[in-house]
Amino acid sequence: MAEILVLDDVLDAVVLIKKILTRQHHQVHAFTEEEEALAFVGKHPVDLAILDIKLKKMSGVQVLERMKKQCPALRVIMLTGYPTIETAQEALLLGAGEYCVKPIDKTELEEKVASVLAR
Amino acid sequence: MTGLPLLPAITVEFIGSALAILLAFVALGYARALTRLQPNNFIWGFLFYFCIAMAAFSLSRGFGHMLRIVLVYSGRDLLWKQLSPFSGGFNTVLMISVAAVTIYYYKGLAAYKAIRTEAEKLADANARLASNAHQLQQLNTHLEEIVEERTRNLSDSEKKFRNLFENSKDIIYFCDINGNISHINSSGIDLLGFDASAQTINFHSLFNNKEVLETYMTELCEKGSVSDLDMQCRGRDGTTRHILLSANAIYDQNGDIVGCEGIGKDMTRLRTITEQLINHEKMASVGQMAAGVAHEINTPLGIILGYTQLMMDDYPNDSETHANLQVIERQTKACRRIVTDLLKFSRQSASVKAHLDINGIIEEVLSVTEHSLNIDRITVTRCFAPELPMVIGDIEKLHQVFINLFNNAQYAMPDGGELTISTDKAREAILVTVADSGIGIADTIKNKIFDPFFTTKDVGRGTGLGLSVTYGIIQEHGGIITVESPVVAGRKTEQMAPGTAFHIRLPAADNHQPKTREDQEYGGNSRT
Repeated sequence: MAEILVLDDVLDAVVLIKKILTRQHHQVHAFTEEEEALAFVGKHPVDLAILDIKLKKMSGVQVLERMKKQCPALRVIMLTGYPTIETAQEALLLGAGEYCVKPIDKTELEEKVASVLAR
Repeated sequence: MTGLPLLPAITVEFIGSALAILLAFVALGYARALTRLQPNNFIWGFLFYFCIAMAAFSLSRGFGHMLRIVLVYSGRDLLWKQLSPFSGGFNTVLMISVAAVTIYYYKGLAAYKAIRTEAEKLADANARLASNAHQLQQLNTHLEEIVEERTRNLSDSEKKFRNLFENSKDIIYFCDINGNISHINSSGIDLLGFDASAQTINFHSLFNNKEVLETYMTELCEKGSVSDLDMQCRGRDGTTRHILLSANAIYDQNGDIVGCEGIGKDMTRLRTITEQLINHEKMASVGQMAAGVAHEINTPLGIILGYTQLMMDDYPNDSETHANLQVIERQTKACRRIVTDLLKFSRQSASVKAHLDINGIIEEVLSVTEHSLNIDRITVTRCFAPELPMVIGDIEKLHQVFINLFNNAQYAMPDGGELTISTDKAREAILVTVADSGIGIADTIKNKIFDPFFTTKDVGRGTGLGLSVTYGIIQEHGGIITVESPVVAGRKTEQMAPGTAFHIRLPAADNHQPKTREDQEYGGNSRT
């Protein structure tokens, strides 16, 4: 069981991930606003953050950078519908553990979360 | 006989005779002076000849008298008697000559004048003739020069227009009203694939489209000319050539059309480039649109798929609801595949470049697909060039290219056939041809086959993205893909299936500049 933060600009998407991971017995905190998610990480210990790259005000990579500053041990999985080599490289360089292309499969998500948490 | 009483008379006679001679010659001298002064004066002329006759007469008469006096008074009467008949004869003859001059001078002069006038006329005529002859000679000489100059000009002009005719890259032809070509330049012969020794070529038979021929003839007959008519004909290599035709009618003396002269510009290359550009732009805009749509669909699709999979956990595997949810999952995954294809087509999916051997890539794809091809009675022929230069590319994407092309070939040969894959090296490039012996591609859809969502397959069998993705991948690799159908090479008879060949040209690694980041993100808009 882990504390997982999910940030996506689409509410249905975060709720879906929350439901999938909750069934895996994780404690999931879902957000659609970047500031709220960053504030949560500052106050609560989080094991894993699942960040969409395309957000409302900032990019997922910027959020990743700020979260890593706040909590260097944080493990991160990036999600994107716009896969490019550059963002993938940038995200991995900033410490993201996985880089997944949407639409992500339920089983794939479960496996990747388990994999990242196991590191 | 005593002489004393007759002495004065004899003296007078002697002196008178002498004076008569003297005065006659003086008069002759004056008359001569007068004639010299006024040569055309009739009176002076008459006096001159009259004085000549009179001088001769005076000389004869006076000398006769003087001789008689001398001979008689010297006692030689006998001699005088012998000479006197001669003296009388002379006198008479000379008297007659004086009379003749008096009588006939006028007529003689008139005759002389007439003869002189005629002679002068003749001389004038001669002079004029000589002048005319001279002028004629000059004209003749000048004429020769003019002819020579005109001939030279004509020759230069002929040479100039002959060069224009022969060296023109456009088709120039002359034909009669029935279309029989009387003259056609070498560009025309070459482009249209005629045998240079052919005696009769009918221009009208070259038109692929009879309606265009009708327009051509109608405009020639009604307007006397045709401008910028888009004509299509079959070229030397069997491909369709687009000719921009302009022609003028040729009329006879009665104003009837007897033929026409025309110029045709081969617009095929320009047209192909234009079509490619239009296609490129179309693909770029469709690609952008497709990418946008794909991204928008991606999120809801992910949510549908996720919730479906979530719900599947809530029902037993053998329940009807679970089976229904499986259908939803399967179809959603099908949608996801289309979205992935669209993203590949729009070239925004991640790309990993490496040095690759095209022959190896084709072999890898064939190792997966050849079995399936063989089941459909399709034989695969490999014509691989050895030591092919490497290309820089994404192995997965290039696999995708050949999978798509082999799939299409398989679909085009439902009753079996031959799939020929050949590779070759050209200057700084690698050429790959994938040719099938299938049903071919109709001209009407040939320019649509690379369009996204264009498919000839039945609903559900194809997404219409295979060739679009292929096009996008080849373009991303800095290459070109073109389609040929019917396939000209290797097709021996009209009865053979038309077949389709896809020709791919990829830059060889040594000269290929890897794309920059900007190229990767925006490359779809500007690269062919």
